[in-house]
Amino acid sequence: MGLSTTRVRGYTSVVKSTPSSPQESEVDADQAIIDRVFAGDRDAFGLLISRYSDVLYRHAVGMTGSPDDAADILQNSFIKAYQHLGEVRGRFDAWVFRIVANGCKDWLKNIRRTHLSYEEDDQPSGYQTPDEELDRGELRGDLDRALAALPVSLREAFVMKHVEGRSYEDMAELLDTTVGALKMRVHRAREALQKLLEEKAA
Amino acid sequence: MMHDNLDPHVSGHVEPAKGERAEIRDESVTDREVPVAGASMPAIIHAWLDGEPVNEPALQAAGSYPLWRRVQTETVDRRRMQAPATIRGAIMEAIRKEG
Repeated sequence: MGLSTTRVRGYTSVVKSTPSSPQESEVDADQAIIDRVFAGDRDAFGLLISRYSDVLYRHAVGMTGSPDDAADILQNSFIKAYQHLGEVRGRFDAWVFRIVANGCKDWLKNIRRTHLSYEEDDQPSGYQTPDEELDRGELRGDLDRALAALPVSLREAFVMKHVEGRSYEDMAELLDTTVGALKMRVHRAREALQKLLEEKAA
Repeated sequence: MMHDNLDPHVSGHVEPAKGERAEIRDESVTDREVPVAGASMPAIIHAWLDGEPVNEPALQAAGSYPLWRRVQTETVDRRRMQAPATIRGAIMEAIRKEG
């Protein structure tokens, strides 16, 4: 998954490789794994965990701001998914996404965070210079705090669009709403974030 | 027939305290699918962030472009974030314990 900028005749656009709706073959593959689980191959469920844990973890971290709590939500969600696997109708990824998304919303209802954390990694970033790397740390913290200040529905839309890199169409399917409503949420989230980030910088 | 007096000044309506009024306003803003009043982000920034083709000189001249370029770099970095390697094992262990 990635992002690059293309230029055509003086025009530029952000080109994204987004997790759009899975191909029919992927849906069939998920169903085949579920069939194996029901046939007694319990370990096959691990394949579904491997397939979807990263994108779901990114959602949970984006919503909670806490890698540890995100991991707990993910673990509880997959256990719940296993227990209710017989209730899957259609896309497994959409079904398990809703379990995780609801887990995040429950967490947000019950927990008032006292701090935000974001684990550093040693992977190369998109920043080029040491100054930009220093700046990155500050932006990370500011962005986390600004995201935490957003209403849940706006934070969810922003995280799905920008952190998970989903298309509006996929978001609409997962959240059972319209593309227009989601565009509005994302735009409002950006407006609010810009205001918060500019206030911090002032 | 009696009618309710809808005049807020005489109907017993109590104006919320200043802090309460702010909370009420905030709630209404969060629930509506409408543009934020006084929005200051240029449309070209939204279009660029939505992946639509935009005129590059106009994009770079937009006031908030440097901020959003940095935010975009950060959010794209976060797309590489991976679930802890131990999580699959922990989930499968919990499932096995269930029997």
